[in-house]
Amino acid sequence: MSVAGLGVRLGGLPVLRQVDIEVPVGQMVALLGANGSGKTTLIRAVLGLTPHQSGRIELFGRPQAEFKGWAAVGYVPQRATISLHSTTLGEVVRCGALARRRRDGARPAGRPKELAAAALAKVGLADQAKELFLHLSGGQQQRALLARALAQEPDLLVLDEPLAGVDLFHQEAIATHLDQFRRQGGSILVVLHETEALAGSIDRAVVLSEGRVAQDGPLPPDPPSHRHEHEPSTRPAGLVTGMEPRWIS
Amino acid sequence: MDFLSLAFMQRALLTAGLAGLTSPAIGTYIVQRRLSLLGDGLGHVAIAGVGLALLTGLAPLPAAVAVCVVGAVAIEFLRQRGQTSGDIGLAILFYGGLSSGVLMASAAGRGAGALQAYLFGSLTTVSWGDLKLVCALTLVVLVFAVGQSRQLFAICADEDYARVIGLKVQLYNYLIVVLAAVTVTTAMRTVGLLLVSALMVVPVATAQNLCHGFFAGLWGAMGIGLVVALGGVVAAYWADLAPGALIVVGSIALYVLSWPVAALSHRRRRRRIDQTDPTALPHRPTGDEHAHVHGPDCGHSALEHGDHLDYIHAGHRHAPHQGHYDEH
Repeated sequence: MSVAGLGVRLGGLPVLRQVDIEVPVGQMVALLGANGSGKTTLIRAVLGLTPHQSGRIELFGRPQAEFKGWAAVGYVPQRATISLHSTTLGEVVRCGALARRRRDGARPAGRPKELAAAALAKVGLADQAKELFLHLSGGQQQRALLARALAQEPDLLVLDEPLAGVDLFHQEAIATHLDQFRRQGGSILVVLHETEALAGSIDRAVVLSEGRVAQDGPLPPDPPSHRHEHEPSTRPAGLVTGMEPRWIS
Repeated sequence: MDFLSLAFMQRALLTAGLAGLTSPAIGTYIVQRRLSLLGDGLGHVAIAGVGLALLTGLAPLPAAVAVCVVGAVAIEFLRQRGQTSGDIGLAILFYGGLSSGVLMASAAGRGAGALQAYLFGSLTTVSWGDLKLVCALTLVVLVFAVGQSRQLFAICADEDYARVIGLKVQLYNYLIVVLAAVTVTTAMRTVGLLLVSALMVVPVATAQNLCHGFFAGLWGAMGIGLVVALGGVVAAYWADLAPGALIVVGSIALYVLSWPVAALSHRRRRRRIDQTDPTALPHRPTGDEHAHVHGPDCGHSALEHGDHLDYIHAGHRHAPHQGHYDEH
C-alpha cells in the first residue's frame, strides 16, 4: 500500500497535506501523532471512506479507484459503532468471513463459521461467541472488531487504535498474532498512541503533525504520546502533544 | 375447517400469510436501521398510486407498486443526501402522497370511501389476478431478504466496514427501501396501508424480546408474522371482524406478552465474568460462619467466573473451594 502527495479537505479545511506513506509487504508501519493530526482521516482516505482531493493512493500496486480486492483489506475502526440490540459477537465476527466469498477464488475457501471461530480464538473470545455484542466491555468489543478483520484472512490490516481499552494480557496476545501475521507476509498500517505493546514488530513509524508527515523512519525512542520525554527540536512549536490548539478535536 | 373450502378464504389466507412472512423479513432491516416509521411513510405514498389508479382506470395494485417504488427511491435519495433538508423532504413526500391520493380519488368522483379498502385492508375482495402479482412480488422480496441476509446484516451493523470489504452499500440501501415499498403495497390488501407498518415493526420487536441474536430474530419475526396473519384471518372469519385490524391488534398483544418471557429468560441466562488475568486470585475464604450451602436451587444467582461458578451472596461473590467458600 502506498500514498503519495495525498491531500484531504474536510469542510473546507485542509486536514491532510502532501502526505507520503508506504507500507511494504510484510511490514508493520505505525502511524503516530497528536489527536487531530489526521491519522484517522488518512486511514479513511486509504480505505475510500473519505474522498481525497489530490495525490495518489495505491493498494497492492493498483490505483485505489481500480482496486477490486477489498476483501483482502481488513479494517478495524477506532471504536465500535455497532448498536444493534440483539446481535451476538459471533454474528458480528462472521461479517468478516463474508468478504472471503467475494474473492476470485485464489485461495481455498474455508467455511465462514470456522473462519469466524478461528479469528475469535486468536483474540481470546472463543467461548463468548454467543454473548450479545452490546454486553461486552469496550476492550472486548475492540478485540471482536479485530477478530472480524482477521476472519477475512486479509493481506493488509488497517487498524485504528486496535489496543485502546484492551488489557495488558490480551494486548500481548494480540501483539503476538499481529507479529505472526506480518512474518507470514501480511502488511499492517496501525494507528497507535501507546507503541509499547507492538514495539518489537514495528518496522517503521510515521509521525503526523497537523496533517503533514513530520517524521518517517524507525520507531522513535520517545513515542510522542509520552509527553514527559519530548525533544522539542523534532516537531514544530505549538504542536507538542497535549498542547495542540483547542480547535483541534 | 370448512372455511378452507371457500375460495375467498383461500385467497385471503394466502395473501395474509405472504404479507405475514415478508413484512417482518424486510422490517427486520428497517428496524435495525432505525427507520421504523418508513413503512408508514411509504403507505402514505402508495395512496397516491391508488388515487392515480382510480382516476385513470389503471389496476390499483401495479399503480400503487410503481408510485411507491418511485417514492422509496426519492426517500432514500433524500436520506443519503442530507439530514435537515431530508427530514422536511420526507414530510412533504409523505403528506403530498396522502393528499394527492385523496385529491385524485375525489376528482374521479369516488370520494374517500373508495380509498377505505386500501387504507384498512379488504382481504375478502382480493382477486386471483391480484394474488398472482402479490405472489410474484413477495417471492422477490423474500429471496432478497433471506438470501442476502448476511450482506444486509453486515450493512445494518457497520456501514463503513461493509463498504471497505467491498459490499455495494449504496445499492443495498436502495434495494432495502424499494423492497420495503413493494412489501407495503402487496400488504395493503391484507392489513391496509395505514396498518402495514405495524406488521413490519411489531413482530420484529416481539422477536427481539424472545430470540437471542440477529438471525434468530429474523426467523422468529417471520414466524410470528405468519402466525398472527393467519390467526387474524381465521379469527376475523369466526368473529366477523375486520381482519387487518385484528392482525395488528393480535401482533401487539403478542408483543405485550413477550415482555415477561424476555425478563424471565434474561434472568435464567447465566452471566459470566472473564478471568482475564491467568494468575489465581489471592485466597480469601469467607468466615466460617458461612453456614449456607450454595446450589442450583439456593436462590442466589450464579455467574460463570473462568472455570467455576460464583454465587452472589449479599453483594459478595462466593466461589466454592474445598468445602468452604472463597471471596472472589
